Amino acid sequence: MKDDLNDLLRTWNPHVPEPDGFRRGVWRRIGLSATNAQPSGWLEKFLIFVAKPHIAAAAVAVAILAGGVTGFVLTNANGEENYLRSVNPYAQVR
Amino acid sequence: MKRGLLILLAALAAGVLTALGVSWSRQCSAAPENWLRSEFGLTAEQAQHVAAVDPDYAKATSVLCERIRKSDERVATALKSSKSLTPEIKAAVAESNVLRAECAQRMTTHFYLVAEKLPAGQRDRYLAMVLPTAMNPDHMGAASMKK
Repeated sequence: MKDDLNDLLRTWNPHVPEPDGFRRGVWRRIGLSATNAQPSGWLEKFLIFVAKPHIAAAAVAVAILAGGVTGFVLTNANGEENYLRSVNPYAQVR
Repeated sequence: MKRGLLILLAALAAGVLTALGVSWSRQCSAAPENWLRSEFGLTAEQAQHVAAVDPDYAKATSVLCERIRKSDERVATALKSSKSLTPEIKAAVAESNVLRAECAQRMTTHFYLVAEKLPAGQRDRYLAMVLPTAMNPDHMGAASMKK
């Protein structure tokens, strides 16, 4: 039974004619899908730009630097004033 | 694109963590006891002696704070309730002045006790730094003058 089917399949030759412009159409569609994959908005372009290794390293370095400067500037670190405040009852009341 | 977003989030997290770390570190170094230790070059042992020199000061300060707050309230109430100088205002202001003098004396005593425990070369510098505050506790002494 199985051998019969195999024999039959070997003799089968559909000879389906390829439509006009079939191959061109396939390539056109492949081209279109490739065009659609390109980043469209500025955010998408920016995120792809950031994903480059040297840009990513620079972004992390800048963020760390900015964080350090922000933490330094925004923190009240006047030790003398803190000490005097801690020993001055008037400063503690106000 | 997802990778770019992850990198931006990682950078943001790194920046925030750095800011918090720097802030925490600066706050620690500016804590009164740490500042005193680093400013006057105290050893751990000397810092312990300084901390133990006047154990009742914190409690006394707390009591003084409460009295100052009540005195301030009495002065404010007396001033609001009159259009001229009344005996009540005089009494409230006099009480406030007494309290100010008591506060100055207590602070001065504390500062001299601390100064005794500092290295000999640092005592005068410490007293020059803190005594203006004791003489004028409403202001922050030398620290506020520097601003």
